[in-house]
Amino acid sequence: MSSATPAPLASGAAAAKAVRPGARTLAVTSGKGGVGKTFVAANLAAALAARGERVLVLDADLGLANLDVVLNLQPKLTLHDVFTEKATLEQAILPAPGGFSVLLAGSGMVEYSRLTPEVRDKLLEIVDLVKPRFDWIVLDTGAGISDVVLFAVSLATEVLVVATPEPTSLTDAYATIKVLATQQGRRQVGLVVNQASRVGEGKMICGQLQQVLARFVGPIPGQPFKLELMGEVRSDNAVRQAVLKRQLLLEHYPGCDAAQSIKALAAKLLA
Amino acid sequence: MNHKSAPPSILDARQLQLDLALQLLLQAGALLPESEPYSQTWLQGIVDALCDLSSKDALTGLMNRRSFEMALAREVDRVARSGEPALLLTLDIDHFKAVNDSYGHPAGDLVIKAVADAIAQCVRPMDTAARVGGEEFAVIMPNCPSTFGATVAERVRERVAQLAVEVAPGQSLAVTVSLGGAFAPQWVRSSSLLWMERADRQLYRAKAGGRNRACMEAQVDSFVSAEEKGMLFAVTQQDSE
Repeated sequence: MSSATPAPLASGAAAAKAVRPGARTLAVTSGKGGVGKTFVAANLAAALAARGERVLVLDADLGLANLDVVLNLQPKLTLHDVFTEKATLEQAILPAPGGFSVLLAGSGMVEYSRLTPEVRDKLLEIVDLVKPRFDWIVLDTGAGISDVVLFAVSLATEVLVVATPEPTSLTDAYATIKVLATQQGRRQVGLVVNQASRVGEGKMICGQLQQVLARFVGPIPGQPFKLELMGEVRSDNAVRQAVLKRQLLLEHYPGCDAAQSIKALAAKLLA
Repeated sequence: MNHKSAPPSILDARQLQLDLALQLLLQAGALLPESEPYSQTWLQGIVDALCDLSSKDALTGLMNRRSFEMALAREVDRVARSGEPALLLTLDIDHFKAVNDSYGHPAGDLVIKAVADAIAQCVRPMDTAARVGGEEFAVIMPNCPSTFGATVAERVRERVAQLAVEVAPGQSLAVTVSLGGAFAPQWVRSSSLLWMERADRQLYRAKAGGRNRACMEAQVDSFVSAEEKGMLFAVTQQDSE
């Protein structure tokens, strides 16, 4: 992003920034579940919002949506209601703690966990409708490499893969990145290493993934594949506390190491 | 009289109007059950024969569109659970309209039948070969290793290209097909419509590429080999030692 002029948090500031052509779309995905994907998506959204960005987090984990759980929201209206035309998009976009907006999937979406042309068209339509109204659309995708996940990722121009240093998480992150490179033709993917045990572990893991990718995914001539380390969030007791209390880390423990890392991630995305 | 112990009689089979059903079966050349008419086994035989009749395409004897769609939906669900590779081929006779226009519809029917027979000869008993439209066919191949996909498609294409369909005494037509192929998404819940759409996209490529050819969708390779894993963990393992 060229000019990241901090603007007031209030949504009234929207008009002042209306010149933007449309939101940047960012998919947060992981391969393996339980590595902190939704945690990263929600807190990154709060960090971006704190810098004056208008952010919408879309719960694209249709089958096992849990953004509402992470944010301690009890939504009355969800994406499901928009799909079934029981609510308008405006009604279903809810304010979340942290100064951003959310569009929650809700448990009624289980029937949509199967990607059908209908679900695909509806998601496409919704993303197109919300794009002009925000600076960022963050798509919190499900775990795995299912076609719903791949489709959700395909809706975004930028991808963040969240991984922990655990071997199973790394393997799944690698498989995900490989599929994104080969199937979606992506040449650039961002990596967030969560629950790092020490400083520099993220850099080491990123380098390792980069090496294997260079060897097995292979560069398209003139288009080298780039895996960029966008963030390293170290294991932090404050994160555990925030997750258990269903609070945003950035609101309740803004001073902790992990919160600083998330803020740095937001700054890097805006740089 | 103890009504409670009497077996419940739900219907009297002889009250059923089966004339039309029997007529249909006879006309289709179906074998009627040999058991005592209106007995349970006889009725079951009639129902089975009717099911068989309604699942097949009358002209070619292949599965019809309805049973194909059922089989496709079943296969999508099976693959999602088993992770086995399954291939869907869609086929279309090249320039079929020209056959109908130049030689008439009876000739067209002969061509369709010959192509159907050729397809049926190329597939295994477990595969589902179907006529899904006028000159359109599809084959579902469960448990088809990904490396065989292109081979199978090529075999069907070749077999059809070798045909000489006699449409009139002394007059034979050469015929070709274009094929598109896509594998079912493994381990994931998906829909049969999307699978069909992906195969059709490849069929379209084959047509656009000059016909009489097979195009296969590049497989999404999410498999991580032992070699990749070894390299991935080389440093982390050293690190922890």
